[in-house]
Order: sequence, then C-alpha cells, then structure tokens
Amino acid sequence: MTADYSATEMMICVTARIMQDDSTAFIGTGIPMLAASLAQRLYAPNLIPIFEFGGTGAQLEQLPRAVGEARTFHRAVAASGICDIMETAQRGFIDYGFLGGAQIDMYGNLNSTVIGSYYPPQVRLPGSGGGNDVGSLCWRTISVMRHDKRRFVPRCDFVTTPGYLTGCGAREAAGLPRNTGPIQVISTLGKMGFDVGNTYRMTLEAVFPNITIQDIIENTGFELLILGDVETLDPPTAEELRILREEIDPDRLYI
Amino acid sequence: MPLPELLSLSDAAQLVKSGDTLGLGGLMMYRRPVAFVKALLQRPNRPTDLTLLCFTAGFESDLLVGAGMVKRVRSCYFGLEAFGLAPMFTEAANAGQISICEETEASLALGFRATMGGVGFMPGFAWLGTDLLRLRPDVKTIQDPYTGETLVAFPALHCDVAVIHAVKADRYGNAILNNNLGVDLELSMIAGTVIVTAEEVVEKITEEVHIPGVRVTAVVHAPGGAAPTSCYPLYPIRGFEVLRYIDACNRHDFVGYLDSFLVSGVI
Repeated sequence: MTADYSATEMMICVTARIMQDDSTAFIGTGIPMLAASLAQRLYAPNLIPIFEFGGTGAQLEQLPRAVGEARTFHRAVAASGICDIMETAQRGFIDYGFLGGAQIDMYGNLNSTVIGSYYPPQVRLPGSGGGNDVGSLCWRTISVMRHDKRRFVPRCDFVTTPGYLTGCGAREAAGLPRNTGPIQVISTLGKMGFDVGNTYRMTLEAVFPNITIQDIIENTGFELLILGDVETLDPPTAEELRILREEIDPDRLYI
Repeated sequence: MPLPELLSLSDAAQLVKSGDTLGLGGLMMYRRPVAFVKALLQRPNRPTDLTLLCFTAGFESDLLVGAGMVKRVRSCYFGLEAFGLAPMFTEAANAGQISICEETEASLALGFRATMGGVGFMPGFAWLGTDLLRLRPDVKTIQDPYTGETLVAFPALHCDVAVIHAVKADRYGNAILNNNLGVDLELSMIAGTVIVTAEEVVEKITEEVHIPGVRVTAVVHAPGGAAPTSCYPLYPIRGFEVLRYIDACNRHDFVGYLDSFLVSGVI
C-alpha cells in the first residue's frame, strides 16, 4: 500500500517531533514555520519560536506567509526588532536554530549565496539572510532540506553558514562560540546527525518509511557515516496529518 | 529642530540624488515603500548609480534594479520569499552586471548599532570561519582587549536617504508602524535624510510612536503606499500582483510590466 502522505509532510512531522518543549528556537521561513506550529499543538506547547524580524514567543495558530508577517507576532511575549534578536542570539539565549540552504556538505556547512564560482556565478541565490548568524550564534542548529546529490555535496561552493567547517576543532579555531554547531539534518529521505566529539562528519541516523539506506547513499554526494543501527521512523500519524492539512496549511502553500 | 516638510510623493522623490545610498524600510514583503519607488521611477531624470541599503531587498528593489538605477546592493537577502527569486536582481547578478556587498542580519544589525553609537564598528561572533570574510576584505577581525577572543569588527553603516512606510504619521514626523519594526527605527536614526510615507497623516499623534519625528525630513501622504506588499492591519500581500510581475519578467517583459505599473499601479 502506498502511504497517503508526501515527503514534505513527513519532513515537517519529523522536524516537529524533535522540537523541545520549553526551548527557544530561531525559526526560518518555510518548512520550519510549519514544524513549529505543529510542535506547539502536539509536542512542545511551550516552545518559544523566535523570528528574526522581532516576533518572540508567538502562538502559531495560523501559518505565517512570511517571517516578518503579523502572524509571527500573534499573542507573542515580545515584539522587538532585528538588532535585538541578533544580540539575543549572540548572548546565548537561543537554544536551537532551524535553517535551510541550497547546499549542505559533510560537515553541515550551508550555502545560500551562489552556485558555482562567486564571480560570475552560475546561479545567484538570495543570500545569507540570517543563516550565517543563526549558524554562528545559536547553540544547536538543525537543517531542513530536500535530499538529492545537488544539495548534499562534498564541499559547498560557498560557505555562507558555518557547520563544523573542516571538522574537529575548526569552529573553535575560527573563534566561534564553544560547544555550538549543527546536530541534525532532516531531509525528504531521512534524519542525519553528526559524529560530534570525533570526526564531526554527517552520520545517517534514521530513514523514512519505504526508504532504504541505499536510497539515501545514492542521493548523497559524499560518504555518510553509519555508526550504529539505522532506525526507520514512524510515518505521520493521522492526527499530525489532520492538523497539518486542515489547520496549519489549509491553502496548501507548502504541503 | 525644524518641522519636517509635508511633501507630495513626486517632490519627495527629488530628494534622492544619483550616487546616493538609499535605504528602503520595511522587510521582505511587508511595509515596503513601493509608492515612493514608483515616484522615483516616474521622475523624468531618474537617479542612477544608487547603492541600495536594504535589510532585505524584494519587489520594490527589483523594480529599481530592472530599471538600471542601481549600481550596488548592500543587503543580506534579495528575493521574494515564498514567491521565489527576485527576477531582475538574479538576472543582473548572474550576468555580473551589479555589484553586491554581501551582508548578513548580524553584520547589518551591528553596523546600524555602530553608527547609532557614533563608533566605527561593533564587534560580534558572526562570519568567523566562512567565505564571507574572504569576500569582504573591508571587514576586519580584532582581538577582544579583555579576553583575547577573536571578534569580527562590523563596520558602521552609512545611509544618505531612508524611506519608511508607516501606518500613520503626524505633522511633526512622528510615525506609527505597528509592531513589526524590523530595522526601521535604526534606519531613521542613521540616515541623513529621512522620508516617512504614511497611509494616514494627522496633525498630532497622541498614542505611542515607533519613529520619533526629530530626525524626519519629510512626511508624505501615500495611502496604499506599500502595495503589493502588506501593511498590517490595513491590507495583506497582493500575491497576484507579485505573480503578474514574475510572469512578465519570465517572458522578458520587465519593460511592459513597468509601463503598466507606472500608469495603472497595482492591479
């Protein structure tokens, strides 16, 4: 039987499930917004989403269409501005950052600036936005992105957002705050982690239902480490799907 | 302080000179000063060689790039968010026809703070270890004199003319933005000339204001002045207009879109 949900829906559900209650989380545009909204309803009612443009602690009853839109301030505990949010992150008050990018490499570095050489580029992308700052200043980052070989590359064409840079000790050597960095990558095929404390390379932790380890290997442009058992994640529950489709994104802007 | 002038959009648009750094308020797809941009585009002698200073650049900035008025972009993001890439910026950047000064949210935020504090830079942890420092040799690292840590010294930002679209403004230049402030207050503090366009202009605002009028040069009555971007709580994003723009650009008909936009405005 073919499961009645999309890879995007599965990606949103898995992201929502790993969001921690009573934590502060920097929420980027797109999929992380849907996941935060789902998490608030089912798994992390006290999640404090922080939007780069000033909304802190909003109740995401309706899906924001943009990260600065009124819905990112709905019943929020604070409405400040970007300068405040950046300084809040730099002070170490944001636990998790949820990010996307056009490319990710084996150390979790992200590119959202250009594909190809910088000048002239093959394709110019919109730019860092707050990506670099989230990856530099939040304690832990989680990337959420489609899984294919063009996106999971051995080395980013341009490092916009720091992951573990070139591996063990590189973040600290560069001067980034200690004990920070990426911990997870949620893709359209599975859930990845990092070999923290050792090689700092990306590891395969779990696959989505009906996806094999081989599928993931074939869609990844570098060698993914497999350090333990690779679990198969549960598909979206009926309740997750109902909330996602009927309450969070009834207009199907993202799902 | 002299009172700000009450100007028409076309008179206010004359305050921008070729070569200026133009700061456009609002963010992404909300409260962008689109009516002001339209007035700039309607000037018989359009200013050229502009440096755009936008925290994020979107629809309004793409029109100026498409019209060939922008030499340099200083922003952390240039795009149309859920609508995708900004077509004219992307085309110009892919062809190497526009100069881009890469920024991130922290570099802009700290650059604003530096100017507001009257110092040459503000230090931070962002950018370390990435390709951004390589691209921006003007951005230097320093050692914290107290701890010895390496920090990035983000340089103070300069802005000649800032334009901010407000929900309401008064005769004294005070303005209400609603609570999605972005960097509009900071922008109003660092720019040499500050233009506030507003949905409504009253004699005196008695509620709490978000932009104090002391640094405002001109106030312009511009109802609907952010459309097709949103202006909460008055109107939402007009997505169909943004799609009409993208479709026209995809057909290589930016000029046709611009003509209809300048004559008929947002449909």
